[in-house]
Amino acid sequence: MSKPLILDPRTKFSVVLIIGFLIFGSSVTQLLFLFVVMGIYGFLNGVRKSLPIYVLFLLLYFLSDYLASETRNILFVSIAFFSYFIVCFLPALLAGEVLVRTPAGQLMSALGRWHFPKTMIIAFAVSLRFIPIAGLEIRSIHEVMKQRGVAFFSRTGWLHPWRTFEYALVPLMIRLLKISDELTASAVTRGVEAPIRRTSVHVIKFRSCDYVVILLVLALAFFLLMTR
Amino acid sequence: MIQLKNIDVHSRQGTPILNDFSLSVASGELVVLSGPSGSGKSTIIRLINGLAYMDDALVIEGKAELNGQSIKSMNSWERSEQVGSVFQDPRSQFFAPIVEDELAFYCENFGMKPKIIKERIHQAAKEQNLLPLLDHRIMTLSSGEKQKVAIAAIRVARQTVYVLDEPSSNLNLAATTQLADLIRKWKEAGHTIVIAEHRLHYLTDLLDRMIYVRNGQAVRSYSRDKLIILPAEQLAASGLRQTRLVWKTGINRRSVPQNIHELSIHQLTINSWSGGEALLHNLTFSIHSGEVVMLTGSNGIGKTSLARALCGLSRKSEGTVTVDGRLALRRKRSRQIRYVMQEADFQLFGQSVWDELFVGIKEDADQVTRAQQLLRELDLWSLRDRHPSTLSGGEKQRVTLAAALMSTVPVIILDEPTSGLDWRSLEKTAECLKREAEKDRIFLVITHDYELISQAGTRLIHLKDRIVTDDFPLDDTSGARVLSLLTQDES
Repeated sequence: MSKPLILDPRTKFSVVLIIGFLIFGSSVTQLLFLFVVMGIYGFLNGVRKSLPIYVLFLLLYFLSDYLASETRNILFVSIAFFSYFIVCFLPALLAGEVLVRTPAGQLMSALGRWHFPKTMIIAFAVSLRFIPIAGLEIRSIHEVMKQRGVAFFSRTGWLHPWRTFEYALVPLMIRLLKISDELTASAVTRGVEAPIRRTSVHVIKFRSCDYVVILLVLALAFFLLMTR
Repeated sequence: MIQLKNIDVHSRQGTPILNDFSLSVASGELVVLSGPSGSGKSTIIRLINGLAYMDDALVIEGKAELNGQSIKSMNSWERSEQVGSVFQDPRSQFFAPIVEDELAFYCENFGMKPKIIKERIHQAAKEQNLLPLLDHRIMTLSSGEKQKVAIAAIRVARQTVYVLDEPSSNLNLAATTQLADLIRKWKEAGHTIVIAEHRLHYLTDLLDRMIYVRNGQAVRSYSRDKLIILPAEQLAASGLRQTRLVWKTGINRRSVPQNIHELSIHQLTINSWSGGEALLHNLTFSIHSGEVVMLTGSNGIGKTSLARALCGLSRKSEGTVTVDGRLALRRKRSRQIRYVMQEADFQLFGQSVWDELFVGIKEDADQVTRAQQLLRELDLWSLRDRHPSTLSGGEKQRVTLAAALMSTVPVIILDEPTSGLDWRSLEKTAECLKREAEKDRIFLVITHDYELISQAGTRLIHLKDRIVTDDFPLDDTSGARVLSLLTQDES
């Protein structure tokens, strides 16, 4: 397979924003068109493994929509209703996945270029780091709970769900407090409060493909808005 | 250089932390602060790097100066240009997922040009032998490598004063030796260094002065020559760890095999997460009650994976585990084999220490006597009404041990029970292991800690290259062999 396209993170941000606005008020045909365009955009940017899942959701919608109109069964109608909402967001999700796959350092560099305040950039970096850490902590806590016979799906878990909830929550809170404390200490002793504009080791710049992508997306937006 | 004069620190509630503490460190000097847990060592470190002044819960009086300038009046970024800080747990210090981005953090904050940032990263990474790891994900590195990244991430600033807070507590012996080499280099370059540390052995030959801190006061100051001749008994009485790694002799390690319980592992293979080659291959050994078996080996060799497989938390294993001659099925193994993890904070659920012992256990008369006895033996009785999160690291680790001992499981696996502990906690833990083993328990202890092996071990199992390479009973003459095994580990 060919190498993924290298785009400036700022281009990716813009694509997410424009597509995010476009999906509102679009008809189903327009959404489908958007989906195809975003599918190609995602494919070019290295979103390949998860592409079939998006297509699967689309098929689920068409199937349930067809069945709903044929049988008028409440079950199919409700599935069609919910899958319609998911389909609405599919193009934006694709654009979002491209953005999320960008290394954190480049994203921070892009935010810096846009003159975002330092506090927001650091908060952004920390929250990116925090989510996987919190996941690991929760898993470890539940493993200990399993061993001590107070896990969610043990006898105690069924009989006293609130107590189990407390057992999970207390150590989690204490751990997260401690981690945020240590992260702050590590940041402060490395000059995070310096009143100087942040630079980045990652040099990002607009290349010709960035201009092409932005122009195409703007043209698409114009075309879709005109045909509404 | 560093001047602390008549410092008084207490919390807003009035608990004293430092009491009329004075310390002056000359330029180019290496000072080690040691003493029992909770003596105020960390607070001294946090005074020098200024973190204590940002803590609203502390009231600080007295004069603290760095190069003649009041630390309190400096801005946090001005302090960070002069003082580099290394913390205990490198896991929670990182902002970036990639090593290179992490090293760039300081330079980026000071708005340096990308070209200069690259130069500084290259230099700091070269000093720590991190050049081949620059594009690696930090999560995948070993503890030793993570500590190197943390140190390189402050070295890019090229400060001349360094403060380190228990830098060795998550490191094995090989990584600790590398840390000692680095500190020697810094000292030769004329940097001023203050280290708060329990493990003294790797610093004995490097330090200029060791300050013994207790109850928030500098009780005594030892020069290198004086420290070396301090007898082991006096160190132990002060709650200090060994200045030279000495094997403990003259204790009875020959456990009387009572054969009440037996843990047998037959042809056990531990598969790796990624599904590639197995971590450990065809392990076969058995342990009887009365034994305290020390399990050693490099970081990432699969000791923790083995523990997780033994207690049934992980499915990534093949082979059989039997307890008392009966096959232990994975789902039921947690009733027979208990695994106490290294991180104590995960494992404390109760509202008080007393409450903690009865999580998942009925509070009947027998268990109450048992709990009272355990708390007294582990020196926790006076803390029984405290909330576990308010305890010190050593106390927390002893509470997790006590909680495991409350259950009736025959096999207990401990993961690094003495990392970051002072001598007193280490001794208490060792005594408790020996006493409980003599009753009817089987202990398998994952550790890098020579001092713990020396105090409590009866047998050592060493893992290398996916198999057990050494398995021998410990006696008065095993010291040299244990030390050579530990130093051969990869950092």
